[in-house]
Amino acid sequence: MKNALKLKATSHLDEIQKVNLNYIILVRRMIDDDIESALIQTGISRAMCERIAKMEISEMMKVASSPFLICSFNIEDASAIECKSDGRKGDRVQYLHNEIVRLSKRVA
Amino acid sequence: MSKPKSRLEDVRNIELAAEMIRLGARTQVICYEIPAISVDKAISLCKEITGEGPAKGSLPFSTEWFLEFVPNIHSSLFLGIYRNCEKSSDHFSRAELLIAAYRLYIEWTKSAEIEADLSFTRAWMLVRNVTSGSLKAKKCETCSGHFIVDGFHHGKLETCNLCSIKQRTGPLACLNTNSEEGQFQDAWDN
Repeated sequence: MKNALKLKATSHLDEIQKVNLNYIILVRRMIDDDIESALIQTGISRAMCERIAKMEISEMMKVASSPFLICSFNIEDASAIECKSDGRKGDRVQYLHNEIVRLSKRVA
Repeated sequence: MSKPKSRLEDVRNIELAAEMIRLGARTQVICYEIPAISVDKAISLCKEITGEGPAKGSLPFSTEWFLEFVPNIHSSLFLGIYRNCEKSSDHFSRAELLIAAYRLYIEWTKSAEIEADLSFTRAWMLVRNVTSGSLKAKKCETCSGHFIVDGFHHGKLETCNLCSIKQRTGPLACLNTNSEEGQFQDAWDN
């Protein structure tokens, strides 16, 4: 039996809704602060940002109550989330190296 | 010198210049990126914001600096951020992109507790050099990160500076020391 749905799986609904709400509030705060920076850092389109900027709290809560996550990974290449570690390099150097690799893969 | 079409555009240009000064840009950089700002205007803005006159002397023109060990890592990181910014927006001017990317670079290094090695002026120089082809980013064959190499670099980049770090002594120490800005400055020969 391949690709079978687990019958006992939880839906994580509660957590998803919390993340959704947190996400939309963060995006809204970033847009209110500076829409141009928000466009760069979130990767959301301008039209969408302008719509989010006009959202009321009740609307945000309705959107956030979806059983699906409203945000998705911004990283397309699966290998870009791999974090190699090499004991001989210091933590910070490793951190720096991983970030350079990740940034490079996002634009490649 | 092109005159700004409207007052609002004028205000916008001054705001951009002011932000660039706050991030440590030299007068020449501002005048180059925002043609509507004259040298006098840039100098008086600089005096108003920092309380002192702009730094004198030549701009760091050398491309060699970007190829040195620690600067190379920082400039590769910055270029990565810059290209990501560029990717998510097609209507920003280079000045705006530089400001956004440099702010992210400063904040990121701060959160990673790494001393920011690249000044705003150097970051600008880097982007200009990459645009003109004097420097380019090449994919490291070992880690597939993009690293700055000389524009005349042919063939593959077998190992980048960070992949070859094992062969060096005290990698951490060398990333935390802040090399003195201006040490490798070339003559401003214009």
